[in-house]
Parts: sequence; structure tokens; C-alpha cells
Amino acid sequence: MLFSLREILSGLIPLIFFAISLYSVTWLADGLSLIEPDSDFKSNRAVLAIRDSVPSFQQFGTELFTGPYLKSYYDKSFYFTQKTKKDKKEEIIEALVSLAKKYETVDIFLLAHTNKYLLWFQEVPLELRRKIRLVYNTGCHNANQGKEWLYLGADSYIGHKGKCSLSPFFYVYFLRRWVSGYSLKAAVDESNEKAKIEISILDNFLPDPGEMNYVDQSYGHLYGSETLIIDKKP
Amino acid sequence: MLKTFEKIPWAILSLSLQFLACCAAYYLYYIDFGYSNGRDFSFALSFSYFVLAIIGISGTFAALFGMGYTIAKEHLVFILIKLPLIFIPCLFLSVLWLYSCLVLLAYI
Repeated sequence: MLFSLREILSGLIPLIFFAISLYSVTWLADGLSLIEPDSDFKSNRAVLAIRDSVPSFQQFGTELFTGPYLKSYYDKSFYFTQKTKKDKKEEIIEALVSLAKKYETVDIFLLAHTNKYLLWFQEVPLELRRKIRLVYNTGCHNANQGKEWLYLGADSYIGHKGKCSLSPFFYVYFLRRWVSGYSLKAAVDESNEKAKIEISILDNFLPDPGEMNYVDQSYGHLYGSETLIIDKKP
Repeated sequence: MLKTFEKIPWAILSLSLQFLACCAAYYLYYIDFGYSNGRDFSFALSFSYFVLAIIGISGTFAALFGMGYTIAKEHLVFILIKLPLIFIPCLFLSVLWLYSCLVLLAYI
């Protein structure tokens, strides 16, 4: 016999425990199974994402997580990484215009610290701005842009109120739920719940948040249509 | 190669890596990275990302090899002590660090 039973077990048991650990951790954190995108609906939508000027290592990380989802679930995706605050402004506006001309709907992901990209897109013609469907903004203190984005032409907007918002805790769950076909309200509510659990655990170890606790600061606020789903217009 | 493999104290290595994770958490908690500034906080996160990645990957390998070596070579008593008390918890924690590292990747 090539291998004894003990040798086989010495290879098999660690792998079994590794699989159990992997399953337990992913289940504890987020037991969501992703779905395949519907190609008919997918062909009608595009997405624009912007990462602001932070260390390149951080920018790489954001793209590593976000990029594959956007490429898989949208017919066309533009992902911009900035080197300065106003870097690539013209290209970004041009990208939105070209996407809005070609596709029925365009979603926007603003993966940036407190920002005012809203002002950039005011330059885009109104008929094209109306193609903007969902805008998600990770920026601290940017929930207050909700009404302005809706006025600009977006169907829905999600932002965070806190000046020290831990938005990533919300975002990692939200993006996966949104592309999995959840309605916007369901995706936001569930992501808020998930984020709440994790932030509550960390809350005691973080610096004094001031008047608003971290859970409230990081809460994702939804403005506009609540019934939106990735596969169609509201 | 096999002799080198046998000389590595896998249990101590696995525990040391988890101890390193505790030290990193302590360091992160007590050093002021200037949280009031969001960008500075991102720098702090990038530090924790490196630590989590290194501990997660090396901890997983150390626990897997250690578990395999113990089952293959050591007495049943040591297997029954080392697996539940050292290797299985270390493996679970290492996978947890790796997952946390991926969660941090989402933003940093």
C-alpha cells in the first residue's frame, strides 16, 4: 500500500478542519450566495465608480473588491482611481455622458471620503442625468446630499450621516446584496443590520465617537425609490 | 527537507502567530493614528491589513502542517491534546484573520 491509513488521515483531517473553518467564518460573516446576472437586463445597464486620492495600496484594495462585481453584473463599467482631489474630472464626466447615451440606466458608486462629486455631474445635460439610477456614496457626512442627487436626476441615493462613518462595514454587504437582486430597501436594511452587529463589537475599542455613536454614524440612509432592483427600473 | 520540516515546532509557531495578532491589536488600539482625520484612519487600516494578511496566511499554513505532522508522527495522547487545544483554534483564528483582511480590502 502506497500510503498508510495514518498518513492519509494526516492529510485529510487538516483539510477537513480547514474547510469547516472557512465555511464557519464565511457563514458567520455573510452567508449570501451570489446569483448569475440576467444577460437581457445586464445589457441595459452600466456603472461608474470613483475611488478618491488615498495611498495606492488602499486604492488597489478597493478595486480588488469592487471591480469584479461591477464587471460581472454590468454590461459596461468605468472604474476611476484618482491621484488628486480633482484628478480625471473631465474623463469622469465624459464617461458618465457616454454611458448615459448608450445605456438605459447608469449606477454610480462613489468610494471616497467626504466628497462633492455631485457638483461635477451638474454639468451633464438633464436628459442624460435622468439615466442615473442608483448613487451610493461612502463619504462621511454625505447623506445630506440625498435630496440634491434626486433633484439632479438619480432615482435613489444612499449615504452615511456620520463625520466618522465606518462605511465599509455597510458597503461590503450592500454591494453583494445589490448585485444579488435584492430590492434596494431590503439590501440597505440587511446591510445596516449586518454592519450594526460588527460595529457594535468594535465600538468599545474605538475612540470616543462624540455625540453620535458609530452605528448611527455608519447607518446607510436611503433616499428616493426603495423598490429599485438591479434588473430593472423602479 | 523532511528533517527540516520535522524540526519546526509547529505548535509553538501557531501559538506565536496568534500572539502576534494580539500584539498587533493591542498596538493598533493604543497608538493614536489620528482618528479625527479620516485619511489617517485609512493609513491605520492599511497597517492592520498587512498584519492580518501575514498572520492569516502563515497561521493557516502553520496550523495545517502542524496538524498533519502531529497526526502522522506523534502519539495519540499528543494528537488529542494538540488538535483541540492548539491547532484547530489557531486554524479557525487564522482563517478569521484572512477573512477580516479581505473585508478591509474592500475599503483600503
